[in-house]
Amino acid sequence: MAVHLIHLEIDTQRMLAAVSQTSAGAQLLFIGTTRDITGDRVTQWLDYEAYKPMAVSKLEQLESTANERWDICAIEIVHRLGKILPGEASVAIAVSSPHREDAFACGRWLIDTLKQDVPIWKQEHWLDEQPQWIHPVDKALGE
Amino acid sequence: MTLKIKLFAAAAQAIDSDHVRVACATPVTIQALKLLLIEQHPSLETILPYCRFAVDHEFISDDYAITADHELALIPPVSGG
Repeated sequence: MAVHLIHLEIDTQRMLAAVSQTSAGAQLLFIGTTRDITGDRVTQWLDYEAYKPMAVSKLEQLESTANERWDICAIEIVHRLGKILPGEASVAIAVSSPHREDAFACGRWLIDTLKQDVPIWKQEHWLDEQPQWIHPVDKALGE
Repeated sequence: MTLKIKLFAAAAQAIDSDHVRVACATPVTIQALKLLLIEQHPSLETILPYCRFAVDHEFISDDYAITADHELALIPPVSGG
């Protein structure tokens, strides 16, 4: 399969090699990295947790929907779990397509949809504060 | 019957466990299950309105009725990426 949840560093060169095809005219690589500053708070590291079987199933669904929607040669999606330091990659998506428009649109849709529907969560380990699970309604929860 | 619900992230943290068991008559709707959960674990009340439920790894709606032994999970708003 072309979707993976791993605990080691993400090998983006392997991903690009995996989507490399002679029919492709474009290869797109998106890398999501860990940011050290959010507002005035400092992140020491992030801890990622997944509901693994569902996350894999959802990622496979994203891949197959993307293949129906755009003219794509190959897709690779890797999400890293566990402890990730600032500057390191937490997620990477590689897409190859005959024409660049499809790779750009597909890559954008994949990361946006992953962030809405794939059961993976990050816990911020702040400097000088208690660890905090991040749920994108935190403002609504009064934090 | 007793339903086992998997918990993650802040929901797991709220009751200090990666799952919860709820005794109830089936079929039970997700709406009814939410009320039972809050009754038994008041510390879930803050996050529960924002959570989705998954049955056998698929998101389901609040009017879905659980009838048999499926894998059930409470999915707080996700923050991968």
